[in-house]
Amino acid sequence: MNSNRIKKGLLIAVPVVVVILAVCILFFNRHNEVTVEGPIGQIADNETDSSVWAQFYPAHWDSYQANYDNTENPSHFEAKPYLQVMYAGFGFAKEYNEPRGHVYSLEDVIAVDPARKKAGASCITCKSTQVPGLIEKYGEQYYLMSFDDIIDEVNQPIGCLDCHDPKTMNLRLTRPALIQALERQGKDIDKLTHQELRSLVCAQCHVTYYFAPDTKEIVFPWDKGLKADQILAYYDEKEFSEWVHPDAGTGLVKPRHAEYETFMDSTHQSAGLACADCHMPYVKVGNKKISSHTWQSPLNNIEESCTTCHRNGTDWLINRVKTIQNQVKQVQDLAGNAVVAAINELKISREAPGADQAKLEEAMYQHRKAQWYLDYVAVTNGYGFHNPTETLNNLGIAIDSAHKSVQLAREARGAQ
Amino acid sequence: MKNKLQWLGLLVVLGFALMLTPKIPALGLTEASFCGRCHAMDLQVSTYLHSPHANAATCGDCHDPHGLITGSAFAAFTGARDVYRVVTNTIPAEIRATDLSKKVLQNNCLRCHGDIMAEIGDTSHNGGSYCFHCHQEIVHQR
Repeated sequence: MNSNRIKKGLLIAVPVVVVILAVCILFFNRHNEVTVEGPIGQIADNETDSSVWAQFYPAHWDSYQANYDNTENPSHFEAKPYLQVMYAGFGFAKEYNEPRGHVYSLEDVIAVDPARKKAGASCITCKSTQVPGLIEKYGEQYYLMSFDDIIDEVNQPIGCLDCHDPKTMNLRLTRPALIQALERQGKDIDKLTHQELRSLVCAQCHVTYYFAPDTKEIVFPWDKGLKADQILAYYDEKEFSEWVHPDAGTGLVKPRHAEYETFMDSTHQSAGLACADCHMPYVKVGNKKISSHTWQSPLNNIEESCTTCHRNGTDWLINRVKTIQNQVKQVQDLAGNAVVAAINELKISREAPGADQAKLEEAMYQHRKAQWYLDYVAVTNGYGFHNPTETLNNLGIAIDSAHKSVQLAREARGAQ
Repeated sequence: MKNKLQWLGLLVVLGFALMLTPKIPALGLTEASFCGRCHAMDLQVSTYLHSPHANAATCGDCHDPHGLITGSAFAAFTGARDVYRVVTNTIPAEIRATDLSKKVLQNNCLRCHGDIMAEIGDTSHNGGSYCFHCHQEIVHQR
């Protein structure tokens, strides 16, 4: 071959190939764009009125409005009468109803018996989207104000601003108690992943907490860990009690709806799921999917929540959930009756002349422990489904401690 | 020397041209009839053929990047790797998608289903889950 001809050929071929390639790359890339839309409008930085957000997110607003359909607020004492005996001497014994959900948060907290509002403004912290603004306005003084002072300043229930940044719609944390708890754990709250936030925005409120004795500030007792035994160890170290049971004489602490703590390390959480995956599943609205903002039991929309992953059929799935929940309820009732028996024994022993005080103290500690573990399960939504094995483990400890308490209380007064 | 260079050049051009062949639909090199030739993928292929996706997407539509060069380079690499595994009889008992493969799949999910996901966006963004983390058995099993 003549080298000149090759040179000439290459001179034509190379540019032609380059141009064809460039056109091909351009063509393929032009048709490879993922359709993702950004925010559609601008909402003010501190817009607490969710109906303003509704103009930009009508489908989300509709699903949020559907929360009004949940009108039931049954008393915890109907299904769990032992709770009322356990709470004697504490505001919860007066009334303990299940709230009706985010959109009713203000109405429901106003309707609560005044006996439970002694903590004051702190009670409203998780009830209105306006609270972060008020905490900014009043500083630490907020927590020391009375319930009536603050309730006059709020008129919006839990809404968009509680979890979303109005500019980017990204999830964000607004409640100081969670932010502080994470900071004490050494977590950088600016580096949380989207999937972590899809649980943590819920953990702003759906967790157990206590009011710091002097400042009335809401604190998450997580410094030793998130689990029931670690939280009780935290309280024990501080020798902290919220009230003294009038019959048993025991200093007690009250767990609150520890849904986030229970869910952590569960089967579903270890598989990478967040609260929102089951409680806010993606639902089709017209030609779009949105994350449902109707917060409810996933059993109510099981085809969107469970069957996306589990293809075993809805009947089988419902049966599995009900079986777990019934088994938990059964063991929970056993624990409830055991704790009531401990309270009764302690009452008798405390009234008995010459009872062994050291033994009584031990019996009281076992009562404190039993009641903590039982209450931790009983007031957490889901009847154990958030973490079945851990829940049954907690109930087992509750039953064992209650039995020890009964035995020690009997020994204290010389009975068998 | 010059002769060798010419042959090398020819080989490179030919190799490059060959690499692009998966992107020629008429050859069907990314279809189940071709990918399913090896028994390794029997379960995946037979369940895929029963799924609605069988009428709309080939194996390569989901498993290869959509770009001409990126797609064919990826297909060449994974194809060669799979052939090596079959020939040396080192097919893993449990075939799993690699991290890169997951990203490719996610982009391809959104390439077709991006419209319906416009409000939500890419779920895998910032540590999130891939579409198929939940929708595991929608196209084929395992």
